[in-house]
Amino acid sequence: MSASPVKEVIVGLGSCGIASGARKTWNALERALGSTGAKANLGITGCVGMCYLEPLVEVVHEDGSRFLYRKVNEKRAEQIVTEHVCGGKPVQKLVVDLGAEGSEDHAYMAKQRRIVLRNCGGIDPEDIEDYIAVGGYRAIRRSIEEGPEWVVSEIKASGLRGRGGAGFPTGTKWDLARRSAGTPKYVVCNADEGDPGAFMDRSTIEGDPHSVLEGMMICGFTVGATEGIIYCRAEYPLALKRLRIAIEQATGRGLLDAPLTPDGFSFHVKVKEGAGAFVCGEETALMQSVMGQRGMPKFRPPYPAQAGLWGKPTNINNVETFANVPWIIIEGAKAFASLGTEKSKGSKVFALAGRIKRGGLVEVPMGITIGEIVNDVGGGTVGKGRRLKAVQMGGPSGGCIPDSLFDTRIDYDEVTRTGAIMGSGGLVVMDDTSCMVDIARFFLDFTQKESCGKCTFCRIGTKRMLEILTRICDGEGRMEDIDLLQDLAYRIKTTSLCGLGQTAPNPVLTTIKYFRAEYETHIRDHKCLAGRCSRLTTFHITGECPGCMACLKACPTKCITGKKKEVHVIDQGKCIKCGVCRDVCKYDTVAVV
Amino acid sequence: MSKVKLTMDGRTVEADAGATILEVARSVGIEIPTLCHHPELKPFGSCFLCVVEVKGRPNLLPSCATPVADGMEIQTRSDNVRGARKMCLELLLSDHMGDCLGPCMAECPCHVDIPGFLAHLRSGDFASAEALIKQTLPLPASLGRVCPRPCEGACRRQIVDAPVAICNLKRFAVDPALGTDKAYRPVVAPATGKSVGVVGAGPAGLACAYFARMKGHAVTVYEMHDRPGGMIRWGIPAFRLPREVIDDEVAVLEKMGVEIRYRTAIGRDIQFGDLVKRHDALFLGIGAQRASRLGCEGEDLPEVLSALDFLHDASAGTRSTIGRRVMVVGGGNTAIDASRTSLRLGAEKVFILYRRSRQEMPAFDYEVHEAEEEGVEIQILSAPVKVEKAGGHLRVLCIRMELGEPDASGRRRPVPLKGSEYAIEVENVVAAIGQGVDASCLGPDGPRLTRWGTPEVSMRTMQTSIPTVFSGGDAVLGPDIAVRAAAHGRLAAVSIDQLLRGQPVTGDPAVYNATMGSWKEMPRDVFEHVDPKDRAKMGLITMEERRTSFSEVESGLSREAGIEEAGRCLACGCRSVNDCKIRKLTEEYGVDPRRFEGAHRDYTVDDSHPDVLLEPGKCILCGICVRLCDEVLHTPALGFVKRGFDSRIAPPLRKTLAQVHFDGIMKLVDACPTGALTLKRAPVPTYSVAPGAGSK
Amino acid sequence: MDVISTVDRIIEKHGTGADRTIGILQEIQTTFRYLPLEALERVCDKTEITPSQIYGVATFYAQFRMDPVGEHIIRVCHGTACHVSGAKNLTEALEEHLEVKDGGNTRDMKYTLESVACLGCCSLAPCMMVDEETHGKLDRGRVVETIDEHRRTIQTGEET
Repeated sequence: MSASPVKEVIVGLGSCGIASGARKTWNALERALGSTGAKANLGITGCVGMCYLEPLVEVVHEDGSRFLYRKVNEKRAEQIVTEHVCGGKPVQKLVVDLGAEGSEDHAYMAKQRRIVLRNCGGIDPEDIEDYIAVGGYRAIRRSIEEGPEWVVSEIKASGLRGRGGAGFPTGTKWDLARRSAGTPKYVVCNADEGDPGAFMDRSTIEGDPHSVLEGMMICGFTVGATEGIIYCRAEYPLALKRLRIAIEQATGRGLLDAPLTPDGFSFHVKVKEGAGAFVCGEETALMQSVMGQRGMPKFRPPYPAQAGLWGKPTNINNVETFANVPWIIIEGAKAFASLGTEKSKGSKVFALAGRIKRGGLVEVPMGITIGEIVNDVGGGTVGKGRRLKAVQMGGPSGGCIPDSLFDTRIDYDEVTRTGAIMGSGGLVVMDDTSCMVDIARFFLDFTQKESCGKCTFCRIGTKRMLEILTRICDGEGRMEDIDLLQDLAYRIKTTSLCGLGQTAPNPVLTTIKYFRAEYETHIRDHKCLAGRCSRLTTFHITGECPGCMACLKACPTKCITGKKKEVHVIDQGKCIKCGVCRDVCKYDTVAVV
Repeated sequence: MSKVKLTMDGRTVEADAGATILEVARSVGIEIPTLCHHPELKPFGSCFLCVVEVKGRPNLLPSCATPVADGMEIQTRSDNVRGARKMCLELLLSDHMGDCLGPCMAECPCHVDIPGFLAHLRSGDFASAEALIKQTLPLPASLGRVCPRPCEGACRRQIVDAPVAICNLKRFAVDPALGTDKAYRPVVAPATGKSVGVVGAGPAGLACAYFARMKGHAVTVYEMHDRPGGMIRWGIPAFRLPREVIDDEVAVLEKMGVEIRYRTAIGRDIQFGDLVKRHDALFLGIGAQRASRLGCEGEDLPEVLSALDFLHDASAGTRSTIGRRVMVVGGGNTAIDASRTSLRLGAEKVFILYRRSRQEMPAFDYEVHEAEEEGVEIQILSAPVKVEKAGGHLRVLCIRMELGEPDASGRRRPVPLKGSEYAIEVENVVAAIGQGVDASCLGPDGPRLTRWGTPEVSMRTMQTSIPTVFSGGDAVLGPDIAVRAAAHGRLAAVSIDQLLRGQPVTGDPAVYNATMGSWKEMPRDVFEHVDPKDRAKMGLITMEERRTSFSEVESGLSREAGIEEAGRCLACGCRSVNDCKIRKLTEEYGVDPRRFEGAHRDYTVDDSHPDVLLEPGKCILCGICVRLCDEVLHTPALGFVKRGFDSRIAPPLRKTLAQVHFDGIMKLVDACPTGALTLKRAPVPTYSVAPGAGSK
Repeated sequence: MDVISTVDRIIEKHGTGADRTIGILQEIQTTFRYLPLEALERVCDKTEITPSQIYGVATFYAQFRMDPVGEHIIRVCHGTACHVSGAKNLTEALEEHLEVKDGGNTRDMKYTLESVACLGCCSLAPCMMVDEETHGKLDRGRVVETIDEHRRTIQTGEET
């Protein structure tokens, strides 16, 4: 209970929030606040990462106390205004109590160390004053005071490595660009987050765009670049909007396009939109795209730091990498390096998704185990009777790690030993309803569509791998196919021009390595025991069915018959194997036979 | 320039720092294959054929783009590298839509260069057409009259209207010079001092003799009859193949120096063992001459004739009459020939009795049609049960049949219908129900026989169990077509030549042949730009003449009609077949083109430009043409379009090649490593790679 | 709408350098809902961009369309999380309900149905975007409801 009046009601309006209906929540709050005449401001914020609780609304009092509300739909919005904002009584059952030991929400946040996401959910991303109020744009001033060599040594000492997935030491990269001759130099922020299953960069930009801008400015000052380009995928309209607002506001504040040092260093940032090509996340392809060309990668050397955009030294870093920089400059390299493992310092943002109870954005120190993230932070798998099977890490460049290896510590190197990669941070949890052959096929389908088509092995090889996998999922696989897949996979990995081709076979290689039995069952027995490959699946309601009628109602083809309290029956002739019956069944009596 | 030291394939090499591995390799004579590399262009990174292994690096590196470094240890031919190059080619070929050889040429058992000779005919150059045909086929005038033309079955023109009349045009090409001094005679190589014996002057034997003689060996042919030709003379009537035609063509062989000994039958006049002693190598072209018997009571009556004997006697002139009513039993070409011959010998009523239905008749459709036009009646689903003498003629008891389940050959088995017997009265019955091989003439020292009584041979070399003895044609296949017999004869000659030169006997080199598959599977609109035109009709003599004489029924094409018909050829087959890099490498790396069969692009063609043909189906996306346009020629004529597996190279903004023409376009044609960009009026390529057992 | 003058305005706004290609194409597409060939040719006439560059870029990036699209674009996410949560069911339900094949336009040209790789809302899988609006935690029933509601909204908008 708080006597202090409510100052602000803030709605989480990141894309996740919006997708959960946060705009409706906003409208409801606006109506309710208007009709009750409450004095509180209605504001917005970015994604706090607890996507499983969206839409999130925070009520902030004059005295600074804050109450975070979960899953606020229109009805709850009205309730909050009536009972809390006007009536002064928080609606306890809807409050997210992060302090309560043993509560779900506490577990979600307890192991996190939020550096990149430090401001997300706490500030209005469309108001530069909020950013400045929490210490924003101090780091660039400090950097200017101390000079470029100091910045380089700090970043090196922090151990920061590229967060886009490749993990190249950031300090070394900046140093290389600094030493390269040529003018003008460029700083490029790679915001072309194309991994399906990844939304770290999006949330960071939507929630705290200025942290990225400041990171870029510091980089520009350090390497001697006056031009900054943010290459952001067009599928992120909200992120693009917030970036443009941030740039406009920063410019208005004299931080961009204005001299920041006595010798006139000024930094200009422009936004370039991607146009739908995953391969443009690769450095050389990205640069081609920035220059208005097809995103077809090129040989390296020369490396971008030596000769990049228009032949000039160019430093390319990921969004997350830049967002870390201001914090490191202010809090110190030692503080950053105190987190993480020997070779992988600091924290990493992960996008937890899939068959998990608490999905969302989490930032945890490097070195945490997969099991800790999945079970402690994420709460384990969702759905009755479901069994955790694997996690997919690193997107289409990564691989599947079985639950037997969940004690693997997550950093750049240990994960690589399993055959997967940590990648940019996508972490998709799979249970026993996920078919690993189907997953391999899913990723190949993606990579195949995104291949630029330049080099032989990637262009044609991934197509052939996809055809073989499709055949297997359709029940027409041959035992030789597994060897053929591995042969192709090995060659594509070692004989492609860029990272897309070199890593495209990883999902196939890891699933064959750890789940070979599933391949064999598909080929030899024509069965998909996970129930995903429709031609190889038969759903059957077991005798334990209590007759609750839930599946009957949910079935899209109405192929289930049965009365209340009677065991239901699926008409196999009409069944389209969509699996909805299994999804809605609370008694785990829909089996795959 | 500073120097670096490295090892390449175990050799120590000194090179300029900054040079690429490819440059260094070439400077020391190590060959590395490339496709997308071009001396005037920056390295691109498309084909990845030029990869090499560098110690300490997990990935293979493209040699065209990787600079050498001090201490590098490079392997350019390791198993790993060869495996990668092999897969590279296999992947490229799995998405390669083009034909190395036209499907007609590939389908022809002799691999006659059909698009080639048709191109010569188009420009009125009969001499070159004839010379080209005779590179692979010694008897084109004869075969051009009797061949069942498998080439036309594969001809892609029928997507537009009807196949090109290839067989008729083959005859058209060689008829003008036939029997004159101008007839093409191949050059005979200097004498080798070796001697080759050929048994049988049929198509197989004559082909073997022709090619063996071309190589400079002394050739003697032993023929049991008194004139040459074998089954095409004695089994095919003169109104289909005039005797003079055969004689004129064989005369060319004699002019080449082939000796033919007539009336010399193996097993009767000369023994197998003697021939083996007399010659360094022997070819057995003894054919399938044992007629199958009727298989019913009365088959030995003198009025019941075997079709082979009947046709032989008619051809030799020793029979000039036949009964008033003639029943021919059988459904193959021999039955048709026997029935038409009977008409010409004066029979008033001739009919054919065949035990299955019309669809199953093995005879060629146009032969059946010509027979029926002349008045031959065909009775299907009937068979003779018993032949007996009745008065001055024969009474044949027949029974009707119905078709039951398919038998081993896949054809539905005829089953007699009980109670459907009926009688027919005729003067003669001619049995044309099949032939078999009788190898007894070879004696006990002959080569090993299969269970069908044919000499056992390797189909790759035509060699029998006796290393110096070869066989082919009907003798090996059973009754088959003449052009296949000729193909066997040629192949045997190749193997014999290898044997006589002390080389390993391996037959024809395996030559890769990319093909787009059957015309039936191609999309209908692929030749949208071609205007339909009727197929030239073969001239025929009058029906009166047909029924009463043995004059040749088909009279040939007029000069205009023939040249125009040759113009209907779509010139399938690649103009770059002799210098296509992929084709050459496929053999070297033991590529299995079927390994990665899957989805592939469609065949398309941009025919708009007067000189340059663009066939994106054959493009390997090496980008040389686009890069030349960008970096050297500074013109936007061609660019990359789409992405990934759908990537193509095309003129931009949906223009045609003609619309983006620029001076210097020839440079692109020269630089294209495959046949995607070719010169339309390129000299007709005589395929320098020996046609043989194409691998696809 | 006059193509030439519209394109000229766009060029003036973005500039004539070769690096302006994507920005210019994006605005042309937003204006015309696809890339008319005529517009591309005008760009080549008035800028440093060559025909092979502009056509190569237009056909490379998934965003660009050379043929007209519907007024509203439905993008069903087929990213990893959505895939394991049944994205296929959403696409099938929409194909049936709108009588359109994935990638095609509805007959009244109101909607284009697409599958996209990832919308970045993975914790709300399975999800879709209708124009700029994201919708999450969908199933067969809810996805149809969402579209029906959208249709009602635009119809009301048109009537006013």
